[in-house]
Amino acid sequence: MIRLGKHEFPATRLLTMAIVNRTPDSFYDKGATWDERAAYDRVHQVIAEGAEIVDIGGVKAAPGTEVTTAEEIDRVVGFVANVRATYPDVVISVDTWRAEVGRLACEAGADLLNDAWGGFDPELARVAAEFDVALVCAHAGGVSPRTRPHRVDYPDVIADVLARTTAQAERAEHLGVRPESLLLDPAHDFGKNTWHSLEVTRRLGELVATGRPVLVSLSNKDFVGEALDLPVGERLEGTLAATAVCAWLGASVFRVHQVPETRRVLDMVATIKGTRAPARTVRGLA
Amino acid sequence: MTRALVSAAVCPHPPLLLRELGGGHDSVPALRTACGTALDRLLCDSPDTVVVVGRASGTWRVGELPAEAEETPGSLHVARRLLSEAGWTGRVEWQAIAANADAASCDLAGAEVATGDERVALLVMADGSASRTPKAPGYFDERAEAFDASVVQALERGEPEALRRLDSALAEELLMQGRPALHVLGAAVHHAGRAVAGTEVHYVDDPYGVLYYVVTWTLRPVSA
Repeated sequence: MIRLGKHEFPATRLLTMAIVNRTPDSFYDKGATWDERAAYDRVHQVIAEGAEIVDIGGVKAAPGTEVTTAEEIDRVVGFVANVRATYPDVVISVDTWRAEVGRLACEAGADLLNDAWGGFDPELARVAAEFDVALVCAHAGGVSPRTRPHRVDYPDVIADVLARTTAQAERAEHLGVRPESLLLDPAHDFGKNTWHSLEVTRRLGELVATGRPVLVSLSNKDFVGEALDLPVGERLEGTLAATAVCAWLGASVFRVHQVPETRRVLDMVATIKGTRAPARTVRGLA
Repeated sequence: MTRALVSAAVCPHPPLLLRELGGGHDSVPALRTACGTALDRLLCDSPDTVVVVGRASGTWRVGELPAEAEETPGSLHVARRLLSEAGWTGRVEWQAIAANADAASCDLAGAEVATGDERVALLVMADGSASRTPKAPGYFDERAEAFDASVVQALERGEPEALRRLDSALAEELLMQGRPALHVLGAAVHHAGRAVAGTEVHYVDDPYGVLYYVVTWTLRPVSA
């Protein structure tokens, strides 16, 4: 079972987490939902498309103009409160590494703190415990938020991912976060070159074998682009292939830009695995 | 000694009636409801025994059904499910008839069904041709409609003798799997000295190019 705030899901369920950026400069949408009305439209759309989780973020991952804590709060917290009021049953995730932002987001109704930067702010896990919400324990290789990898090297990247993510999860559990509310994220591209992200994908089963639910964030990332030599706008098929592989290897949550395409891929993989029934089967059986 | 055949039901046996094979969406809800109604009619007079007649390939023969579904002929497996869903816990006798059984074999099987001294309800697992549309398993065969119509007419009018005269070669060509079981029905009614007192048609349709019919007969002694 996976528990995200007040929401429970069976362990075999494959969940889509739709990215909603409250940023003017994120790499994929380039500010398409910077306008608040556009961001609401995006929320309405992804929920209609079947996303179980919306992941609201106020700071782009890549380096760029500084976003202060106050500015991040301004971008995110009120928006979370409004989405919560409109959609009591949807899981709201907030993409932040800052405990101060996390606290206010939880007060506004967030269910999940998506810390993509590997526990940079140790207080964030305390906030998750205090509000009984879920927490993503990601592997960023020990780097600071909003930095790009430069000649990073690991003797064994998966060993590092396992060590850092499980250490965060154990600490969070010790602080009082429920074990079923702790997700491990190998964090493709974060503190990794493309070889690292490919290996993490190939060996994802080792992370799944910890028994903790695994989140993957693959959507349109550079490792897909470099694998196929394609720019940001042409990475859907590569993303979906990686999605299928990760789903087959046991990942549970998929952070994505394109919800309907992802939903179909996840449904197909679940059906092949046998954890989901085919929609209808008549061929040869009439 | 002949059995008192009190009622008969004809139901098709597509695997889709096994709900778990249909996936998330039930592709034959109306057929499923009709079969349930037919079973209720069949069992309402509390027969001593239900005799199930269904086709089987190879040498499968009368007797106890194997517990494992995969060892049970498909027609009898569906029948077992229908009986279970109808809540029948009484005696069941299983009469398999070979897919290629000739008229004499079917008559013989019908005579066997008619032999005994209990009150019997007959559940006949049979469906029509599978060549009714371009999307059908057997593609479109222009002869299917008239052939099926003759069978439906015999069932609607309660004409057991007509079921003993079905063209087995044409039935085979049209992928009609119900021919031998329907012949056994006709022969059993004949050998038991019964006549059709009433018929009820619960379903006739071919949603996937295979003709399904669900019909019940009430039976009476010929002399009555």
